[in-house]
Amino acid sequence: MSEPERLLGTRRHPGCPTEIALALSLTDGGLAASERRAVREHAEGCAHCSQRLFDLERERQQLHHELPVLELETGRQPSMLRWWPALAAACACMLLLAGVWMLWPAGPAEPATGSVRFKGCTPRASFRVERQGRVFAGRSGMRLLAGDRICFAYSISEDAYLLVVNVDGQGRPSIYYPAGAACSAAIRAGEEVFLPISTRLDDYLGPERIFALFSRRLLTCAAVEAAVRRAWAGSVEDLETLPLDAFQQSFLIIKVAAE
Amino acid sequence: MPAGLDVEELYRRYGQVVFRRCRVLLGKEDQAMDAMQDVFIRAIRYGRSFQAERRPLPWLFQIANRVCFDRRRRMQREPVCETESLAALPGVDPERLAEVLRLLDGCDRLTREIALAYHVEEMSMEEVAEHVGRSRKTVGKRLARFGAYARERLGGRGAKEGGAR
Repeated sequence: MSEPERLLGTRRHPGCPTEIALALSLTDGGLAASERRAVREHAEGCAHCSQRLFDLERERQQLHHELPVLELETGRQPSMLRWWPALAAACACMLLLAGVWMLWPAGPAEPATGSVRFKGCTPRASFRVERQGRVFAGRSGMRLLAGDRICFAYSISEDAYLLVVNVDGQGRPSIYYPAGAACSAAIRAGEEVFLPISTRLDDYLGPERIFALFSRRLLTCAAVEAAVRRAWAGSVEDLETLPLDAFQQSFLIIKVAAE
Repeated sequence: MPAGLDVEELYRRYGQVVFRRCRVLLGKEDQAMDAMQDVFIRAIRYGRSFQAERRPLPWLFQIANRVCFDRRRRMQREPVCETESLAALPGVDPERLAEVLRLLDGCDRLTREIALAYHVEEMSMEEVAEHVGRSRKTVGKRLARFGAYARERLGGRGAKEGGAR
């Protein structure tokens, strides 16, 4: 049987390996040793494939840096996060602070929205504010001072993922939790569980909206930031929900200058 | 998850090629990243469907195809970003790629796998047969049927409903 017409044209040079084979040759175990050797030997003598290998290696490094895999089902901690040891140490320190804050009750958020449903009671987010040694419950619509520290807690009846994102008055998103990560963090079921990090409010004044996004699957920060951009209509007051597959709860805060 | 299936190892080995498949099917890089995460989460969740005698990559591609074609259905109002598709497949006319993918939206699972392996990954018929675990004859028949269907649709002559099956 003759080869059918290539609907997208022919990019693969005669005798060259496929893009998949080249990509797999970059990782241990991606190809059998003999196949890998053959691909590498070919690439050494082929300028076209040598360039493709270079591009694939660059892409692979970028991809592995940006996309850690988190495992929810197995109960193991994410082992592919390169920054995990540093984060774990930071989390341990912040847990001490969070433990003190647990003595104060939580304030209300705005009504929750979102297409995702969880079994049992609905997920709930709350936050507490620390100002010059005083700690009090936060609520949607409250005025906060630049320099205040806020810490979030959640209640949920099953394991899930959580991402907390702040949107400032210009529609710019900032990921509060998990800080410095590329995607949402796995959380365990629990009542009033404090996140291991707090956020110090900067001196950018005016209204801001903070979303707690509970989801059954990972949300990448890039997808959340894109959703903010899509939903942005000029004011945080009008930004009630984000076009994401997540259970959402939001808090409107108004940042004012400290006297 | 079966003891022999280490999804983290699969991610390390095959994450990049699965991401590239998702990027071709979805066009937008952020959606491809999201879809790739979904693929490996499903691999964890549905690991029992993996048969140890099979090679992992075709299985992951099956999951990726399902995830991405589901997403394509959901985002029909948001057309595939053609410039990013172009970046994903150098040397391919993005409009042509978008047309071929639209035709594959209406095809069955096996035809999609075979057509993607042949037209997008540029495998030979023998390589496709090995990749999908079917005979060269089956691959040839599916490709011929899809090719005829595509030529008819892309040539703008008439229309068959239901795609190539």
